[in-house]
Amino acid sequence: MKLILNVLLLWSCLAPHDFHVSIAQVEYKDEVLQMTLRVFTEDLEDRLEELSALDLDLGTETEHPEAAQWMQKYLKKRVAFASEGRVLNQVFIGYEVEFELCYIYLEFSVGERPSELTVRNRIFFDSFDDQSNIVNVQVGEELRSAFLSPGKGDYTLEF
Amino acid sequence: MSTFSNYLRLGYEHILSLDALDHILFIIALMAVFQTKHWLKIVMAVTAFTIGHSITLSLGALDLMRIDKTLIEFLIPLTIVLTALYNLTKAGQNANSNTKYWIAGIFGLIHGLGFSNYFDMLVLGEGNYWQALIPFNLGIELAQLLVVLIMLIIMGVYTLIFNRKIRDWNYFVSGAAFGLAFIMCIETWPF
Repeated sequence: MKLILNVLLLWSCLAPHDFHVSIAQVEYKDEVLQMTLRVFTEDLEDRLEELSALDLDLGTETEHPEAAQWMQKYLKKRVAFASEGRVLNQVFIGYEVEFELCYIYLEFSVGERPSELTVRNRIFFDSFDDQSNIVNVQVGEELRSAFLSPGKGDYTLEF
Repeated sequence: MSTFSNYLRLGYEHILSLDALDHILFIIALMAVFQTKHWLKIVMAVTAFTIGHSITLSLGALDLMRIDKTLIEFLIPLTIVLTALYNLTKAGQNANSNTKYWIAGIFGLIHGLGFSNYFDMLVLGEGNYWQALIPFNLGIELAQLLVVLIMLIIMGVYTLIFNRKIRDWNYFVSGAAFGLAFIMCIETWPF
């Protein structure tokens, strides 16, 4: 019986195709790195509700007024850039929820065109041990990409 | 790193994670009746599976493809059940028939339907429609070929070194795949 339960439990974890991924597009423009971060709304809501113990209802009419605040707090520590040893200041611009996806807009002032950037994106590493976060960075004509996972939460890109 | 290699890695790692066990199980059932010398046929069948599932994954945005999720989650293990049962028939055990390619391709279409949220993540907001999709699908194919390679080695050891018949192997593997997928069908029963 225990075996059957274990098998059932195993399958119930596997049945919905879980895709623990976030993808961010970053563009260097007017001395600023502009980031659009795509996450699954469900992942974000689950994590923030756990941390805040609130019903956030992201993207609905009953969305909790503190939702943005918790989102900002969560991203502050986990999404970052450093250039030449200097950590860039993160500014939370806003977010949009479109069904399954949530688009989060962040900006980082960098100043002059960077020749190298250290990218950090550790969101949901505290939710899933198979989370993968891709960060694509466009500086001028150059497009570089960082793949961040719990084994490696920082990656340095050169331009 | 380039975006290409990162999306490739995303597809590759996704198949080799436990979340995609139904993919691996389907491939193992698909190749159960073949012998190691038929490796090219196996590669072709698995590629047909990848093509089928890439097609529906890439069409994910079309409303046409918005089929009830609970139904898809039931149909996916059903494809494994049916493949395993087919392996018990005379036709299913004929390694020279082309039916396996069709089964792989058509069942691949069903597996791809389970990926609609992947499509949204990979395409919406991406500058170029194919930028993420092509390497992601290639990564899936690569991972599946790795599964094929490992299974070929196991089957080779079983038949050549232990001198056992591939027929026995087929019964063992098809039975296991049937059992696991059957439980999954009951769990996801939509009606």
